[in-house]
Amino acid sequence: MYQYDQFDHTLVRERVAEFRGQVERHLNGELSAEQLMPLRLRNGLYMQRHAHMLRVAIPYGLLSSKQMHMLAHIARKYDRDYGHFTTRQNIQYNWPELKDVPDLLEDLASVEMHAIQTSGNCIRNTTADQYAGVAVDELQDPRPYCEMIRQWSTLHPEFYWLPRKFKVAVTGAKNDRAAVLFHDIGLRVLKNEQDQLGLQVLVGGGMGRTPVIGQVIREFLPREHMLSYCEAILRIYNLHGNRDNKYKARIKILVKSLGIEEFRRQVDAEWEQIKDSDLVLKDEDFEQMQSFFKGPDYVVPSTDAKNGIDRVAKWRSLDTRFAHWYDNNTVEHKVDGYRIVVVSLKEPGVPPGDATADQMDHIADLAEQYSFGELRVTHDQNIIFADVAEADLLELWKKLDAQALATPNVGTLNDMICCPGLDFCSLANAGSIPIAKQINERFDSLDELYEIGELKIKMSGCMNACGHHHAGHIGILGVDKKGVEWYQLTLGGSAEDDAAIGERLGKAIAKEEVADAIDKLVSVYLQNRDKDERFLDTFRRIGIEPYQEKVYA
Amino acid sequence: MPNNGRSLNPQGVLIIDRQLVADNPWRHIAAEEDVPESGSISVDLTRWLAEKDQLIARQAPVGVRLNAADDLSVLQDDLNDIPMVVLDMASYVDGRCYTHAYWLRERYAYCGEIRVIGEVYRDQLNFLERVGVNQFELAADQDPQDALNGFDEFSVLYQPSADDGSNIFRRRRALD
Repeated sequence: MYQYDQFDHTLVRERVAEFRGQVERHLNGELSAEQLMPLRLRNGLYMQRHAHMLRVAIPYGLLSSKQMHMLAHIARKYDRDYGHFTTRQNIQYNWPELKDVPDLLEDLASVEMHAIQTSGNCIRNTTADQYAGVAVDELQDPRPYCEMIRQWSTLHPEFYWLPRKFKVAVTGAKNDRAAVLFHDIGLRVLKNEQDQLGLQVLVGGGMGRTPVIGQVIREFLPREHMLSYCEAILRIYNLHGNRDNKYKARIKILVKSLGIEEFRRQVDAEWEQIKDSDLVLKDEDFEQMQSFFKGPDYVVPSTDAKNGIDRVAKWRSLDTRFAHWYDNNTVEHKVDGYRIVVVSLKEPGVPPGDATADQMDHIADLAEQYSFGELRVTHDQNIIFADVAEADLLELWKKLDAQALATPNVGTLNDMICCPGLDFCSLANAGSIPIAKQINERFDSLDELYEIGELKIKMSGCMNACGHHHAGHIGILGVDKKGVEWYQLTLGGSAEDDAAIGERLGKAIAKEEVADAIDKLVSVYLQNRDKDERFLDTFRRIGIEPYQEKVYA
Repeated sequence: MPNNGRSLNPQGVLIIDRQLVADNPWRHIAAEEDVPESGSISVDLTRWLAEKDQLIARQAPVGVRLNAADDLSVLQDDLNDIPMVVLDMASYVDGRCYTHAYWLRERYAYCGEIRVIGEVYRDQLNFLERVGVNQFELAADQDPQDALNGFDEFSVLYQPSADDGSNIFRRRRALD
């Protein structure tokens, strides 16, 4: 993974010192709460319902064991022994004290981490395919591109006060797992017919109140121009994005109002001016960055390991719990003899994405022991060990199981995405964690979950859509009606290559009836399913009416 | 553009090229005010475009003041006649003037003075300087001595702008 050099270390330390000064000036009364606000936001610090919330950047979701141990330490020292992994591959702490945050950030800096630009109207953490580097369908590892964007966008002096937040995602695989169609800028690394590496550039996608699927602004951008082209997009957005109404301020609204043709014309005109500037990248820059991500030294399975693989195969036939875990929570790896392991943070009854400090330490130790000391945070709020030898799977499973980290529900209806909701967030209109619990309790049979198959439920406690409900096969949106929590359901959303915005089912559902409604939706699916069809495909084939008839009967 | 009743000349402390300056001869003339015969002044863009010839013929310096929403490009051909461009930050969270400053320096190679007025706070100075601003009329509540520290928070820059910052990847190339 990427290692800081002297520049990176210095910048992050100086940033901590700057924020320490700002907090001191605030506590001395020299900087008002109002003046501190945008400064603390750009250091990841929000004011939430009960206390401050700190969002720590995990660039493209990648962590070392050492960093994960530090996250556990921070949970113990500054928080209440847990943290919440988010859909944008970051981690949030819900209870830090303002006066302690500079020390917290210094602890993070000691393991090459920070919270820079994790909130505020600026360029946020760049996200990537969670299977980057190990996916079978990958053309190019997107992480070097992400890291270069991270550095270019960090403390960019011109784009620090944008009309609204700005998010970039990169994928380098055939199948998009980074939701590039739902980002302000989405980049797909690809090759043209001359075998040159470049990027397809998408712009203007996003969730939030007005979900929009991104549009292609450039089919093929030679990669040397990645930063200059992003800069041109940002410059046009900075000048012309709406600043009067925060709900119309994202770039997606600008692109829609100008039209993609006119927006492209303006961006290209700006780009012409700067494309041969200092921002041009060279092949050696990419090569140097790629050298950080070349992956571990995989071992060809030895005779012993082959015996281990045989034992794993045997146990799959003997132990249904292990077999379920293997089938649901592990994924094919590009190297023979290895599997990708998904550590489920979706134990029923626990808020999705939450992990205790002890769990974080255990996960870090297991990554050290079984996956070359690295792990990843996924968009679905789970953790991944990307490089586990097949022969070690049985042993690893037993250890995960002992820590309640082997719930074999990855990809099932219970592997929900969920924002913190009304329990923590000051924006939320309704709870999301209690609804997740209700659904978990209703669907408590693994056999039933497996029978249903892939069904992505995504839930947000308000229309800001942090839980990406628009892109859920079933989306759940919490709304407030005269002080009572209600839930609006949508069907048919997807964040992948077949990106779609979910269609509204009908009037909102009362809180206590959400799981029943999900049950009814599932029953319509099971009655109409054609062979191995997924929930999403059946919905697309038969339309929304049968579901409406059942739920509102 | 109306100034929402705020004063364009609140007598805040002036910083020029990182030095506190006691004397500030420049007055920012509101749209409804008459242009005085003497003294250095700035006028809004509308007046500049309407009265350009008289203003250039005036004996004392005239700068042009831009609001965040103004279109900078209409000034392009006039820049040789303008000793100072004043960027009026009615709100410090409005980042458009950063692009205006950047364009002045980098696209139009403007060598005159670029001054910011309005909500000019210590914690913006470093970024404003990076995009090409060299004069700062601090908001009245800012501590001038402490504000000077705002220029020196960072010794590492990751990206080029209108300053000494350069592409970090090019700098790394040079190290190898």
